[in-house]
Amino acid sequence: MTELRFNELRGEMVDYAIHRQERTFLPARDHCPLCPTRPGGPVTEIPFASYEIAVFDNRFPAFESPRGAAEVVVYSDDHDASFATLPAARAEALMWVWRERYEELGARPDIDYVYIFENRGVEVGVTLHHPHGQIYGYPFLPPIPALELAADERLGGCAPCALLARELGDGSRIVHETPATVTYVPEAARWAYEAHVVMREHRESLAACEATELRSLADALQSLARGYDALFDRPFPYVMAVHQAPTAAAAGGGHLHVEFYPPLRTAEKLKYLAGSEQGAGTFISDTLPEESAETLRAAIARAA
Amino acid sequence: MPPVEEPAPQPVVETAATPAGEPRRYGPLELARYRKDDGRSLTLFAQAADREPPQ
Repeated sequence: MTELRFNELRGEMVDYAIHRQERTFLPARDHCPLCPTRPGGPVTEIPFASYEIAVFDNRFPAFESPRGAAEVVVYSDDHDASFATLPAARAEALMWVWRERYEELGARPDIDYVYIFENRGVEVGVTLHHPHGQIYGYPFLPPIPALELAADERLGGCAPCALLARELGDGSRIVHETPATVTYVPEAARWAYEAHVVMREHRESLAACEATELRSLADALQSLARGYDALFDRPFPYVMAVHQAPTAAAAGGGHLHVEFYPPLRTAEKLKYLAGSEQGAGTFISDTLPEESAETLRAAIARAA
Repeated sequence: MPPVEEPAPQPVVETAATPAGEPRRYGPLELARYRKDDGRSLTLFAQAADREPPQ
């Protein structure tokens, strides 16, 4: 059971899912619940000897029907794979899987916002190393997409469109381009190597994308993830957040883009959310986005 | 030296999920839905054999 409470001082919902305290935590490799069920081995979450991509209801959900959803998206039956190392065709297939889940979950009346994401690395709280992401179906509009809608209002139109035009005009923070996407370190990045992958055309969601655009998106995301791994020559932790249009009736807005929040500021040093970030809500950064972009651009080129 | 007898492969346990509806097509993918024994859903996605090859 989960319970939602409203935090009046912050004006935001807090989700209590206390059963998650018992969730599987960094199991031994031979007890990975996301691996296929091998002959003679333990039955896992996926009772088949092999699979390509699997999606299932989270056993320890943060949200659950009839007030939302929590799903696990397993990218591969290879325990040692990562999003960056998936074959291009598998990464492209994953875009279609995301799209299908966005459409199905978004059609549910109890889900106002479909949020697809990946936590990679113990630095951002990963509890299972097998390559996977998650999908939360929120029964309300969460604060960050609400802020993006407010940015649309403030800028008098689609904010990601306006920001993309600004970045293309400046050019100094762009790190990668495909026919359908532009990747850049945003002008006011919160994290040292934060990057946004933005659709060139105004596409509210994955559902509005052409097949060729999904292919470009997969390429852009993998290029960035590989560049991250090349940056410090180590598996690079990140949160990958897919932002799309809310699915609540009459919410409007939305421009598909994928934001990456990597906590590393050097090969060994993490950025912590401390006094200013937590108590005042203001990020203090040790790096300039333009300099990070130059470094990241070179890393993406090295990894190509 | 007598031949080493290969151990018979053990059957994979596939009873923890039962099909939920017919497989269907979505874009370049084929979907097969299952219901796990505890009621949770499981969907396997595979690239369809006749999908457009990657470029």
